[in-house]
Amino acid sequence: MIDVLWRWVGARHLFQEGGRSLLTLLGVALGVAVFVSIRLANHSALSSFSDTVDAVAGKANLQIAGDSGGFDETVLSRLQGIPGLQATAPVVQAYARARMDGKTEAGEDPRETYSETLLVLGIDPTAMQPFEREESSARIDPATALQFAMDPTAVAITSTLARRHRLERGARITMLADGHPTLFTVVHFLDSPQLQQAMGGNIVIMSLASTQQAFGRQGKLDRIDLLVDPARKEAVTAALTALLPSGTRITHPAARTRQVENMVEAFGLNLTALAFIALFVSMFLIFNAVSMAVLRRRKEIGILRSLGVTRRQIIVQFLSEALFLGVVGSIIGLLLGTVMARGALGSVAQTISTLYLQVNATHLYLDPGVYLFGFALGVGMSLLSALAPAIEASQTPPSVTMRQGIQIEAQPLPLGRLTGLGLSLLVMAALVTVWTVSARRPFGGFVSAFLLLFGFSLVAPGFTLLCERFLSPLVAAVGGIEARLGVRYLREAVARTSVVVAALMVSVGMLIALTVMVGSFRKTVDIWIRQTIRGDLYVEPAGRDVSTSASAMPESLIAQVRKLPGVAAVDTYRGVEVPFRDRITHVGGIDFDVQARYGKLQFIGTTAEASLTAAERQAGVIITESFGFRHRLRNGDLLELLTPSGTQRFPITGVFYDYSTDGGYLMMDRALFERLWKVRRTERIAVYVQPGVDVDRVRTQLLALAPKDLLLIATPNLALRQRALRIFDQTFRITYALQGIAILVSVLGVISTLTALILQRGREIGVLRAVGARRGQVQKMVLVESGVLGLIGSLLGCLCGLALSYLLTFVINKQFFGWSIRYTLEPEVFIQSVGMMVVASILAGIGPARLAATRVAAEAMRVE
Amino acid sequence: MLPDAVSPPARSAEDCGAAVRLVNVVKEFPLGEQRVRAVDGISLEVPDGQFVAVVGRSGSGKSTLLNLLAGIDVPSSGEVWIGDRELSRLSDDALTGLRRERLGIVYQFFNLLPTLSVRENVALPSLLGGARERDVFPQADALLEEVGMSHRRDARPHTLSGGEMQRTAIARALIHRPTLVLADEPTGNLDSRTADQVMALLGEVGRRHGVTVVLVTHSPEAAAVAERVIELRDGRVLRDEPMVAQDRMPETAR
Repeated sequence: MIDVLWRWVGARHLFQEGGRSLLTLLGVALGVAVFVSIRLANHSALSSFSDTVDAVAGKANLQIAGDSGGFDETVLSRLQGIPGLQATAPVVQAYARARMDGKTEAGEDPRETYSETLLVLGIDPTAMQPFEREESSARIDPATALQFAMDPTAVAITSTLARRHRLERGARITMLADGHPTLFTVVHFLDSPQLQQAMGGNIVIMSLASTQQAFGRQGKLDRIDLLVDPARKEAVTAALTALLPSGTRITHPAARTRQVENMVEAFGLNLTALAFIALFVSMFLIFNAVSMAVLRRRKEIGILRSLGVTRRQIIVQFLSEALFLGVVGSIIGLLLGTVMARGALGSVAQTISTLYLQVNATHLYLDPGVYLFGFALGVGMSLLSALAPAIEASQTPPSVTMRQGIQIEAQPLPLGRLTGLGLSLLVMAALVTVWTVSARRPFGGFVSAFLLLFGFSLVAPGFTLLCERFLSPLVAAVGGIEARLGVRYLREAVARTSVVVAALMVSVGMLIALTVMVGSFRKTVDIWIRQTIRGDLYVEPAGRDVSTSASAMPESLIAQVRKLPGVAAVDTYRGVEVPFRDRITHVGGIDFDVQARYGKLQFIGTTAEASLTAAERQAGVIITESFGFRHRLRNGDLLELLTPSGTQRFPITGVFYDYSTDGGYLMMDRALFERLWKVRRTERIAVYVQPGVDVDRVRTQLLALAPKDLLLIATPNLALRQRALRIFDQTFRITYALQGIAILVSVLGVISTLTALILQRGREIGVLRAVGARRGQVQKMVLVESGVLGLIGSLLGCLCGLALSYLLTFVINKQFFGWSIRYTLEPEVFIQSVGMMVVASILAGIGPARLAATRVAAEAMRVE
Repeated sequence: MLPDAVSPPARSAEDCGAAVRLVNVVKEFPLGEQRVRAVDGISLEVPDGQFVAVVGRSGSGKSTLLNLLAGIDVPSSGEVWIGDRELSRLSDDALTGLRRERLGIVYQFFNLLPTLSVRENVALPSLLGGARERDVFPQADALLEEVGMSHRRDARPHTLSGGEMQRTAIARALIHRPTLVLADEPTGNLDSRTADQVMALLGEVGRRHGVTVVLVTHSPEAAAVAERVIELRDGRVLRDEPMVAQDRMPETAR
């Protein structure tokens, strides 16, 4: 029976209404596509990282690791003779900028001439064999191993990298080591599939000794991969613990991946939440499509009921139509999402690289889990949104077949109940928000955002009627009778139109909330940058942006800079990445003295001077606001950190504002850093120039001091500030792309609903034409209708957006990232959003308006 | 170039002596691969102010004829004149203008707009023509008074009885002072008592306003109000004769 209903009735309706079914499909497809593309891009960016770990670690089931500064290579010799330890492989690694044409010129901007970022792995080829796996591993044959031993410039690169730059064996490539362009010779191509994917294939393998030599890591290792008899893992771990020096730890290869995942978790979750918006909006589309079908086919339902079709069968019939839309829409969405993911991948990977750690993701990982979830989500949400109209359809009495004449909604909208429920959801959203803040459960922020959107959706019918009452005289005064008819119809079909109002509200609300939040955030960051970036000139070796703690400036150069005329002070910076709790955190060392005198870090509750001098006196650290928030640490707390000099406890003497990364970081005085990490190394300097001295002149003099083979990047304050803001904007670009799609889906809703409404009132339009309405008048009526629909939707969106922007700024952002954002509200945001939505809605009304104008007066004569 | 709108009607009787004139009108419809002649060479004239009933069985062509007169449909051949206007030469906008200025239509299913009140429904044709509410509403009120609906002028159509809806529709057909009112089975959806009342009202207000009325019906009782009866069969005129006095219905206005 159901099968017959579906084949004879449901499927035929869907195909007969081809155009509108297609719009609905497109809506679902876009919703699913956005979700899938974001999840795939995120997953791929992270997989490219875990691939790198896997490809290099091979079969290793345990690791000895230090922080990013590495540990002493003599550890290796201590490992001999441990029972159960089957093999060991030392690794030293560095990220380096490179140009692949073998030239050494700096060019205008070394960041552009040295455009490739390579992961350089220094290994002992003879130690690798036990770790090799079929599909992966850095397999180096004995001949290559010999070349490695003979020639310190010999490197192996992946065949992907070779192909990309058309490199043959013997080709020369240039890598920046501590700012020095250094030439290397390609002697071997790495073919294993996994290496081609790791870091997008940007992997270079060299001998351990050459890597240490070239990248200033003499005597250091970053990691020792271990192959341990699984049965004796615990015993081996115990033995290792006893003999390893402080600053090193025993870990699992996957642990690093997990730490990285934790680090970017908030970023990924936020993008996913945004991707849900398009899916949420597409739910309205399905809801409306099914509701309209119920309305249009009321008589048919009555006939079916009188022929003995049960209520349950009617429900199943409409649900199967939604199922069809959901399944087909989701399948299209999965395909579309895959295409979109390729576009999103670059943006996501770039953001992760800028904010967290180097990933070079060029390969899309088609995770079946993401597809499965996306499909289930699309189908599930389609069914869910069709449920209410399907149940409503099943209530149709068989007697409806007897009725003729004016079509009125089957049941009047329970306006009071809906509005009451909507308002209570808004109150609930407020309560959840309070709970979120007090219990510090970031996820609660999303729950209250959902409640907020849902609450506003339920208020939409009441709001539509309220607006209609106020707008009607105004619109009629300006646009005449046809305009009034258009607006009046919105009231009449409020059950339908309010769904579109809700869909528009959601997308405008999100647009406003995001714009306000991002705008406030940007302003905050801008002010913060102005206040804190006080150095006049920032100098670092070219390539430090990727090699970070593996780079150093010559100390002699720094000494010379200090003596340059016009230089007031020089602050020096070095940093290291250290595992802290379940994440990786950044520890920096700067001159607290210089910072206290010239810098302008903004501390929470204390002055810079007090915090910095206390830190110097008590061998303490200062932490960023987000670090404190994430790890629940406050001024005065003790913080325990693993250093090469053992686990140390530091008093926290200050918490300062910082917006550079949501993981946050901590800083200590240079002297303390050098004592604990046992290095004297400066990655970067900040030069403070005396008042009235020309910064450009100092810059020229400084660059002239550098040795000829050292590429330095000296960035003036202003350029650095601009770059920081550019990075900020780039980070949020994808947010707007997602938002754009949500708006597109809601505009599809306007088109499909208006079209359906017009088909539904063909007779009325026929009457209008019969009593003398011109085509132009009918078109105007529909355009006014769509414009006012857009206006009402975006007005409600403004209210919703205002509430959401508070939620995003003060709750979600704070709970996820721990940032204090100064909330700034600019009225233009509202005016622009409303204007844009009204225009978009009017444009969406053009098709339906034309359709309406083709209705002929003869329809008035038609006997039903 | 055809005019976009029709200029205010010069009373047609002076121009051509008839409110409606059909000259050898044919209307064909495709039906599958065949063509069906719904109207098969009808020629006739209706003088100004006459109340004509067009009767016939289902499929006789009477509704098609009405659509042709309303300019809703165009003939396959022949001429349809409303006053001094030949409809097949008019553009869509000009036809719309003609309907708006010279024609009033009363439908079987009333066809009131559900979104508008009774008074607004009546005023609609004039408002669409660009008239102002403050000018049109008093006229609408006067017409509603005339058809006995002034007490329901703010009601919405779905709250009215069938008879009330049709009274409203009659008022709407007259608001813009048309020269011709076309009525398509106006009693088809009413009980017989209400039907009698509505027909009487139509005849009475038609006479009072001096308009020509063309009524299409299959009900002999309804046709009895007319001055002349034209019977169609298979798209042709079978009978065209004046209604004799004793056949005509007694006038019971309400």
